[in-house]
Amino acid sequence: MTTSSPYRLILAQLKDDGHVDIADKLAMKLGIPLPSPSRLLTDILDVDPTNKSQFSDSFKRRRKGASSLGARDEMASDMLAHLPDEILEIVFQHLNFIDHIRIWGVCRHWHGMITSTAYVSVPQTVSIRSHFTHCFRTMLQLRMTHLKYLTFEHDLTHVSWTFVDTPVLHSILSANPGLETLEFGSIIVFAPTLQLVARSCPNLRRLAFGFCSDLSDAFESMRKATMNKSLEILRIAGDDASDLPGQCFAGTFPALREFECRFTRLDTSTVQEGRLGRMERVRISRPVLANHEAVPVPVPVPVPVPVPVPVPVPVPVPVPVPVPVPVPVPVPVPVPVPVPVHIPSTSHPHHPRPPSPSPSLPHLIPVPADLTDAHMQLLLRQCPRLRHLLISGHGSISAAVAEGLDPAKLPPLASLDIPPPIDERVEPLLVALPQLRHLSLSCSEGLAILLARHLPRLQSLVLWASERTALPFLDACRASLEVLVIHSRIIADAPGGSTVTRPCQVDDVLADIATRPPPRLRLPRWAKVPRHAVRASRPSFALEEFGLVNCDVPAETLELIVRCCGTTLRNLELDAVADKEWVLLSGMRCLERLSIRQDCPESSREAVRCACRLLRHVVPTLRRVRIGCKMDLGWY
Amino acid sequence: MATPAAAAAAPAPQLEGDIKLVSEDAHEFVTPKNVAAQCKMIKTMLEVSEEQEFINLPNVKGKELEKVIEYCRYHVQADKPDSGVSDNDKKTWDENFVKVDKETLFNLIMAANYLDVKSLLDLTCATVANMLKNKTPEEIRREFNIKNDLTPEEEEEIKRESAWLYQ
Repeated sequence: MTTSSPYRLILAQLKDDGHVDIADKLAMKLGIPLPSPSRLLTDILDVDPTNKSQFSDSFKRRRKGASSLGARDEMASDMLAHLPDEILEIVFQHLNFIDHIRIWGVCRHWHGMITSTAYVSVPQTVSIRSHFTHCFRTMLQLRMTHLKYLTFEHDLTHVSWTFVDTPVLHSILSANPGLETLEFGSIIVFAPTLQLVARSCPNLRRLAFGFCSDLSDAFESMRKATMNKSLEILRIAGDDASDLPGQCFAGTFPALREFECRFTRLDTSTVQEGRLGRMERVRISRPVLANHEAVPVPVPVPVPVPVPVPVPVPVPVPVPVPVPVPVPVPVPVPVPVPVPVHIPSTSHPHHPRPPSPSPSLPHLIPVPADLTDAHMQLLLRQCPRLRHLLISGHGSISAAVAEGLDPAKLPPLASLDIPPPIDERVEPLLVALPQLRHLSLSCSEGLAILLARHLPRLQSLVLWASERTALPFLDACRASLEVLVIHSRIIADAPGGSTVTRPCQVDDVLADIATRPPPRLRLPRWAKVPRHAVRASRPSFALEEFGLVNCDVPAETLELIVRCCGTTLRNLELDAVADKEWVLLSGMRCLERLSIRQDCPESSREAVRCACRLLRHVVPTLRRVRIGCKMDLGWY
Repeated sequence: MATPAAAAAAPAPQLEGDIKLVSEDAHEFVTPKNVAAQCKMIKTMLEVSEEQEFINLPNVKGKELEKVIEYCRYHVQADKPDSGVSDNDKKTWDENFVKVDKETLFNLIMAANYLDVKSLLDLTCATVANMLKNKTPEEIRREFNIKNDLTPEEEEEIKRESAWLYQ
């Protein structure tokens, strides 16, 4: 263990001052190298308080000397090299694997520390196949055998091949039997990879991956391996786990606490057998199908025949994916592929879309899954520790789930997603959940009024918006609300059996927030507020990440805009800006474009130009200012 | 390891009144006990002997002790359920808190480690980690004045193995 620098400094100063005996005593008392805090504690308690004055006098004298200050500076600059190992370890934990490799070449001591590191996270920037091979090879080269956490920070859109099926991974896993966390991000893995994991990681507690071609086989081998006793958290990010016959609920992993998956169907019988006593968090995101014909498809019946060799079928995915993802589908039929419903923040309108077989926009329709009321009831009944139950997407669970449940025996849920459609029968359920802090639902206005009054302490609310449902909730939980998300797209049944999406009016909500801002609300989020909705009433403004604000209202509204979305708004459009309002605009930290519709008079043009230049100094992200049709300033 | 639950339950009645903390350079800080108890080390000492009036901290200088107390005071306030301080506010405050020169930062790390304030130790270590990010070994050595004690052969090998990073 290295000696602590400040401490050595004290001793050096004491010795300089001629207090060798005190220095020795101190060194002996506190011990060099620096002992652990607990040991220090006992030592300090022995220290005679009268010694304090002796110490401090010498310090006061010493600190006046210029020469010692110079020495201190030098000490400070190389302190990093002298940090104790246990602290360096904490520093290195905050770095990813690429930085680890860089640090590897700094000095011998660090070189040694990196090889015994326990945390490795491979950053998203490593996304080329050859780079992964390099990464693994470097890990082997470093002879890492103390790994506990190995994670790949990738999401599906960046990695579309199966790099993990390499013999190198085998070498790494078998060299690290202590591995506790293995996260493949949303990367596609094949059953053999998971079988390899099951064989090589006896102590695994957390496992996460994206797609897997054949979960049944993989789970069968996991059930036989010893890791089934230790696994606590299982996340399957992108998979349609249809061929997973509820095994994880049936006691395959008796220690499982958290489970995240995507289902289209779930075998009720296995759920009933399940041992769910430890379950704390269940998240089942139910897929929504993209249907290019805008006609509801019948229930896709996945044939549970495992195909030994996965056939990669390139499937057009109507989400923003740079490259079409070859998805291993167990059934060699072009089945519509489940697509995650994105929350607003992940839908980037600027991403290129993959070629779609149909020129028309795909409509999203719910998968008629057979995840029924009975399942939800079972989960609520059999998981006494359940805190988070998130079943998202659109489906067919009715609120009848509340009937037949004993409100007194409900688990202490803190967050709950209720899939639509719901009716007033859900009310007793919400009444019985006083700890509820997060709620996601879609309901009618009348129902919102009914439900909102039971939820005065709600902190986070996600509404699959119908126009006026947000207001009752705003009224009821104004004091506690921190997060408000309104999905503007409503999926509704149109006459003739087709499904349409239509935009949602949020102006009333905006006006309400503007006049009586909820004290704790951070940033309300809307997905793609249509411009006509913004313009329809005044004062009106949209708060959105890629947003556009437009208003012709007095300075206090501009102030509100700056306060509400000063850190996110990139695009701002105003009718006019008064001279004194330019100062306010400097609060828009991410502003990229500013448009002002009114032309400014010839006489004040130079002043406005000057104001723009000043603004640009304060807001370095600003790229363009347009004023009327005559002035256009740009910085590129 | 069976003690934490008991330790968490026990000190509650004692955390009233103030305690005087004395830094290595004899600066004295009178601090509410519940703020000082954010430092696990001080908390343990308060539990060991209840009636002491001051605690000597021979490993922490006044400047750093002041910062640590400032940090604890803020987080005691902000962590109250009715404080109205959002996580974002706390993050911003933390970011500003560690905007200090390198010497102070490293002393702060040592102080946080010695006083056993885990969240502050994490925060300061993350700040140092940020300084190391995206830098070549040479740049790191220069910035932190670290002596290169690797043999030319070792260096050559490391360069070869990590060449793909810099392509």
